[in-house]
Amino acid sequence: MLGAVLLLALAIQVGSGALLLLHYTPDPERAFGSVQTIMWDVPFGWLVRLVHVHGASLAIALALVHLGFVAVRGAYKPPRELVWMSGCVLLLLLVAAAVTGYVLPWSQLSYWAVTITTSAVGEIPWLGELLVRVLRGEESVGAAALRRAFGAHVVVIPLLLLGLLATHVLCVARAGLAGLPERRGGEPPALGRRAGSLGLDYALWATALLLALSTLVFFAPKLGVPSAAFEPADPLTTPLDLTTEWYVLWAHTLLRILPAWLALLLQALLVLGLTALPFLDRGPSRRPADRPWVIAALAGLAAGLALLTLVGALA
Amino acid sequence: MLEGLGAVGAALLGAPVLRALLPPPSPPESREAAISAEEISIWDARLLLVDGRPAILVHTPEGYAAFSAVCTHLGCTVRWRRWSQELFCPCHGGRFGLDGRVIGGPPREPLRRLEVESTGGRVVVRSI
Repeated sequence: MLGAVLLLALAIQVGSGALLLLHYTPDPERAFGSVQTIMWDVPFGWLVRLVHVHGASLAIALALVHLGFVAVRGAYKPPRELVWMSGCVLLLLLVAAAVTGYVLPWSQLSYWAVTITTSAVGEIPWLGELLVRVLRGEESVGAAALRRAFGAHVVVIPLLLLGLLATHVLCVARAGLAGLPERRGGEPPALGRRAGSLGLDYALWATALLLALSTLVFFAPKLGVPSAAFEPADPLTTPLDLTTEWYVLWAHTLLRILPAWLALLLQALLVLGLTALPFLDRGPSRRPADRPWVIAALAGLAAGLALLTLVGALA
Repeated sequence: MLEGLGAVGAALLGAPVLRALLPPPSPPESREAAISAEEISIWDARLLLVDGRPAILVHTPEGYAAFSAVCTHLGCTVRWRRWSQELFCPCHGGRFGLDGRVIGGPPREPLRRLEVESTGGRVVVRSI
């Protein structure tokens, strides 16, 4: 059900993004100004932009909750391995879309996020230097990096998202909705789906999403947005209070406490391990009580990420 | 046979795609920057652009010292912290001494030292 609401969140992102494209200029000299024009001069531009900014955060939050439900319910087990794996890659693409998105205003946050991210990629043995040149498009961070982020955000990532989303939905259609795990002794779950309850569930979740989005847009427009996002890029000055969006804060903290190559290795292992979960947890039962180690590992992972995020927010 | 042709085709297609992704040669940037000696008092620092990259010039009682201001950890611009007389990186907390050596935080390499020349009331910083 959360997956279907996530589709609504993505539709909101596509719609608001298309409107923003009408006024945005992907040029370092003019990008920040064009975003200011959207916020202050374009009729309802502020609304469209804030919906796009907070919609991205909510889409990622929804995807994480969706992933958590699926993992705890063991809904990644056969015949739904492909559903899970495509879902994990979809989450990665969502984060990539969000990260390339906050590069576009060419604010201090944008500039230093590109600098740090591409420098971290440069630490990858053998391939790092080549990848940095591909990502930046020139020796230092500048116009080419902004154009590349723009291309990735509006063409490459949406196309990949669309293709993978179609695969994900097709896999769900083939395997069917997982529902709740069986009870002890293989009996069907106590709270089985009633006819019409899916529609009600969807309406409730969709209303919750729209309420959360409206609350953020109208009552807390700056919530979760780092202060560096409100200043134009200055390649000579790294802001003192530089932080990043909440969904990548844990990775930022890892870079602070570990050598970059080790932080990247841990991130890669985390993504690979999570994606390969159906092959690591091969038992037939979906009941959480029958999978204590998997549930403990997932809880440990969630707690670890939350702790790293908290440390990053407080540092 | 078909596999071989496929491999040749992929190579023929892949090479130009990769080349198009890589940056074209960039025009050379100025390898030096200069400021008036009056602009920088003792225990003060100034950020300059040398070779297209940020550089930091520090004025100590012993003279001038200049370094690349690009943190060797992940590329942020270091700042001068007057009260502790060190260069520090706001991104991940890297700290460097007045000789450019790492004195704290995640960086492993020292800051790159630049050449400084002070003549006729002007301080010139050059990329080595």
